[in-house]
Amino acid sequence: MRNFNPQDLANTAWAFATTGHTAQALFDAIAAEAARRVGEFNPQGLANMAWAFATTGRAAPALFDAIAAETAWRVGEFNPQDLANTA
Amino acid sequence: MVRSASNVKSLSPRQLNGLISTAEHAHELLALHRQHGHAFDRVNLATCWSKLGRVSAAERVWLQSDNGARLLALRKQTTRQARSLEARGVSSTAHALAKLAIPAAWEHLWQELERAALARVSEFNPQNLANTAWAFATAGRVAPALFDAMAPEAARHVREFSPQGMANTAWAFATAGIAAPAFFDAIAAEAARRVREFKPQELANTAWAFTAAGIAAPAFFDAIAAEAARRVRDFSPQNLANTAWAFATAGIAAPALFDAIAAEAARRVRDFNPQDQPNTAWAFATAGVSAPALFDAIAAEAARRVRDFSPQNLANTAWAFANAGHTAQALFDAIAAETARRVRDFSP
Repeated sequence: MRNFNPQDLANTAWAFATTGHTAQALFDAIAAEAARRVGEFNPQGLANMAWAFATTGRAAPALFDAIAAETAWRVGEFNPQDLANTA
Repeated sequence: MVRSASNVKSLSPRQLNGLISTAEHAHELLALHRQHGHAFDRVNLATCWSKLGRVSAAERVWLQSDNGARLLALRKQTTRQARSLEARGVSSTAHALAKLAIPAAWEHLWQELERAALARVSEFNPQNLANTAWAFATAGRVAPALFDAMAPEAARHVREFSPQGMANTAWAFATAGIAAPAFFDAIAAEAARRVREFKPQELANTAWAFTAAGIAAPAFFDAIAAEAARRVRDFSPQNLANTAWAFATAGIAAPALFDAIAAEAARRVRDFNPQDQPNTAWAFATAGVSAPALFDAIAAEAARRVRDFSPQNLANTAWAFANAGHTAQALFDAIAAETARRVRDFSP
């Protein structure tokens, strides 16, 4: 069975953040995995990820640093909505 | 039983065809070709492939093993004679190749079949069209010129298509990613008229095809919705999930159909596999149709079976419940634990 792809990770984070489910171990695991694979996310995935972690108020400094660096690098690919969600 | 080579040397193609037609197993067909292949004419080749395309699953595995080496001589002869094949020969050979799904070394024969099909397309009857389209789409052959040539032929003969032929051909064009609006319009008009003749799987697959191809056919979808709602008990879980997916993705409101699917799916939720469950929830969430009893049923069943879910199944289930605003604490706990475990385990 294949591993979670970036879209699966982003959809899961989005779903748990939207429903307000506090799942510490889940968010920690997703944060570590997403930070490691940040280059595989598309702009919408990065934006959803950032939105999900911000909404839950969960501290994930390594993930946010990775998203920030990736976004700065690829800013030309982002549309205004993605940028707004990431900011 | 296959007769020995010594006493059948002088068989005519007509006699050979009799033997090929009555052979019951793949090994008998291959033995016939071994002994008489030099005498096979284009009709014999076509009949032989037609039979090979319909062998049992176990025999298919046997033929697939060793990269299809058992079929080497037959393949080479067919490649050489491909351009002489008649319409039925072209379509049944392509159909057999797609069905057998042998990965390597078949490129040359496929190319020859594509050329032969293009040359014969005006002679194709509806079944030849349906089989050829299905074969090339199933094998993942990129053949836009062939599909473009088949589209007007299929549209012209649409009244002679069986429901299965319409469903399979629409599926093939959608899968091959061929934009053929006139073809889809012709199918929509004819299928709407004969919607009662369609089996559940044919209804579901045709709806799937139109949506996947991005073709709007509101009148046809209304006809499908009415018919499907009436016969929802005959639909398999996958048919139910695919039909809901097609209507949700196409953005076509069909409240009576969604209600019927919701009731039926809730009743049979245990028969839904790990892919059908999230797909059905995803469709209801996307269509914005509230179905609390169905979501409760899926939540209970999915929570019990998260270990059988793929990463995408898990993510899509969470996404669907969140998007539908349906609370399911136990399910989310189960998904969280399973996802965290697998993400950690897979990380290097």
